[in-house]
Amino acid sequence: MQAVETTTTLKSVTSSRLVRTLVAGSFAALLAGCATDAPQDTWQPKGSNARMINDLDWVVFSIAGVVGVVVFSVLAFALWKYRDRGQPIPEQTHGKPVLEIGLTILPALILVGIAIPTVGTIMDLAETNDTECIVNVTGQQWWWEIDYPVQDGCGGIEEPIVTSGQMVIEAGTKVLVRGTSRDVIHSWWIPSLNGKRDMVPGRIHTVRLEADEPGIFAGQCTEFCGLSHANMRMEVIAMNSTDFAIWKANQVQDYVAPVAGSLAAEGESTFISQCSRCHQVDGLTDSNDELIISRPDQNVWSGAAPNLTNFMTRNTFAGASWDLLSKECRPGVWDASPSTIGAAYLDGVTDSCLNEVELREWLRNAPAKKPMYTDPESLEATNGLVRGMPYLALSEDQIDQLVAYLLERK
Amino acid sequence: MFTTGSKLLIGSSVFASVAAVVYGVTQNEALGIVGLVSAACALAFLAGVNVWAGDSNLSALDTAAVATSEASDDPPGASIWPMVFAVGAAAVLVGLVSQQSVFTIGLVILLAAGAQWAVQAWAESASTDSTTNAAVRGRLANPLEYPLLGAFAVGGIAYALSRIMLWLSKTNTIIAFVVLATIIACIAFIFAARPSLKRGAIGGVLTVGAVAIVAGGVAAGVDGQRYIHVYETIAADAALVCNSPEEFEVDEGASQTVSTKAGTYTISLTAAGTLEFDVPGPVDEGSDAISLRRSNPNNIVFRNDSGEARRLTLDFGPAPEDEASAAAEEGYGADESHGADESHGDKSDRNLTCTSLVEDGGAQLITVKFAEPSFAYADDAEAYRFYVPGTDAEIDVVVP
Repeated sequence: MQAVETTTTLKSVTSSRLVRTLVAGSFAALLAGCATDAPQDTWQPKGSNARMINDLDWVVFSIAGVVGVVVFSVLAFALWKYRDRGQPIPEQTHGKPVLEIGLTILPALILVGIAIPTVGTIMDLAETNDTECIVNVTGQQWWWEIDYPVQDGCGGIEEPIVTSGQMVIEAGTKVLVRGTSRDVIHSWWIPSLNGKRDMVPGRIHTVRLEADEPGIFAGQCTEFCGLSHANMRMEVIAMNSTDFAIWKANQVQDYVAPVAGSLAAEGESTFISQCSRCHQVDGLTDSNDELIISRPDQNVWSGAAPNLTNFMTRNTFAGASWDLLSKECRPGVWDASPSTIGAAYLDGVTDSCLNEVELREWLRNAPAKKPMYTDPESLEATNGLVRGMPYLALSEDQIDQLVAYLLERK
Repeated sequence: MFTTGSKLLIGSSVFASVAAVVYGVTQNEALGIVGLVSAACALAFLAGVNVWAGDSNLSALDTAAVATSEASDDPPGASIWPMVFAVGAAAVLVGLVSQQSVFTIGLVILLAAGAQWAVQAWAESASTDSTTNAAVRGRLANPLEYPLLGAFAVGGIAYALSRIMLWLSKTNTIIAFVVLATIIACIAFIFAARPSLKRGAIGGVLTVGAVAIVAGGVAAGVDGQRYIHVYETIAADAALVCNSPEEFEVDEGASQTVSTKAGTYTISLTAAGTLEFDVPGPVDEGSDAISLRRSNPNNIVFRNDSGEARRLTLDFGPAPEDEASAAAEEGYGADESHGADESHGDKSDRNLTCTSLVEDGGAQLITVKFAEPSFAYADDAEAYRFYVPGTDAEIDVVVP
């Protein structure tokens, strides 16, 4: 008898703990939805395309909510009303044609009701005829390359622009992103500007972007793409037309070599010997005044490495996973108002604002900072080509030189 | 108890051992010691067997004891498996020092013969009745043997047939298959229509047929297969093919349709003889240059609306030196006998790729990948350019 009581008590305690855990978990999940600093909240649209999705969400969730409440209410009522009270089992019947047909037609009508606005939204989001600017994005393990082809759009681009990690657009402009991938499937997602779009090798997929006003909009790859999938991030920087024009002009400026004899000049030599095999700096020449053309296809599995011509005009690096701006300077750009953010971004990364610690860590041993397939002894499957940036065994002097050189890449 | 025979063997073994010791002490020579120790071991082994069997002291008059003795059991049946096992072991050893295929075959023989030998030995210890033992063996081994033997037989016949078909010409292969299928159908019809046919007759016919096919396969295999033409590829002969509007072997039967309807760029040769491109997005990207990505497989659909069969060619720039010298040695390029298009000069030193010849109204997909940006070839007007041999149509490529 005592054993039975003990078992009952244990069951009661376990059940009580389970209920408490569920309630606490639900409450925590509810609170998480109230976060104000949530740059990737899909329910805080900052552009027309994301707003279309958001508007559709409300319709779908409202209908689904009503259906859910009705179903669970009926279920709860049936469970309570017909609970086991020792009564005899009622007569078992099979088939209620009217009820069954009705319960088939009703959900079908509800689904049709949901499908009409859903299909309409999908069609609207697939529209490309109103494009005002085209930007190419190319995913690879584990960063995004962004290039602006020669076009009349984007206010006119006469020379291609190549950057990485951060896409700069003009606020209020309808941008068409043409995306693909160089290795595995990736997915482009800037939640506050639009939904996700898979980027598939060999195919061009498009997605519209439009920002209501200047700002920085964060996103990340949402298709598992390997070891550092979680470290494959990106941002869209929207700025006004004046700032955007300045940014474009700056991106195609001629290469300016460091002053002879400076630390940066030594860094240029180090860059040529250590980095230029994969990383392109447009306009960089060798001692014979010949253009240096990187050949990442001979070293990297994806065939590409970030173009570092204007490295310090961005404010993140290594797949937008780390800030180039120090903690002190970061809020000055990221938290700037729409009216000042463009100018703040165009200032780039200055000597005093550089996040030197993490940049040095990256140069010292990149695979230790971001998981990548770069171990020379385990590259049989890729014929010796690395996936990501390998360990280069740079000396501290070389790192000093490279930091000085990169600081001038604006 | 030790029998007389056992005592003799034990004594002999002890004597051989003592002799080995004495020989070893008195003679400084190892071979004799090895021989005597071996003899001692062998005699000890026989003595042990004799002690274990313990039947050599039975009286022939003691019929009951004789009937239950080990010696009264049926002797083991004749078996081929030890010999096959030995062949397998020999093949393994030979294979270890010669070819892996010999080793593999030897190992298969070794394992199969070992398994059969073990099953047979196990079955023969089941009872003293050889018929019962054979049934026991069959119950265990037949479910494995029959499917495996069947598979080997079918595989052998199929392989023999394939050799015959590869030996015959294409046309004769079709005829042979039709004739063979007809014969098989007729024989099957006769078997079905005449259920009273003796099993021996059926088996004989099938055996003769199988042997004939295998023999034919061996003969055809020894003689070798017919000549099979290896078709040209564009990559193997790009310097020649990509610069000519003429039709080559590589163009024969080339697809004229593309299933891809979206997600690619399109370059069209118009009726006016110009190249135009279409890419996703309505923004005008200019009419004289198409922007393509670096180190990326760019899929491009080439549509030909010019009224004549044409191909789309891409010039990647100068060919690597080893390829250029090889092309020059073979006389490609300006050699008119190869149909090179003079309007684009000597192309033997260019790195080219192209579509097959596309008929009017047709389309083909070409995948191109640029390792370097276009500004690397800023001084080379020919490089990074799509053109159509036999026309003036061309379009530049910009690779950032």
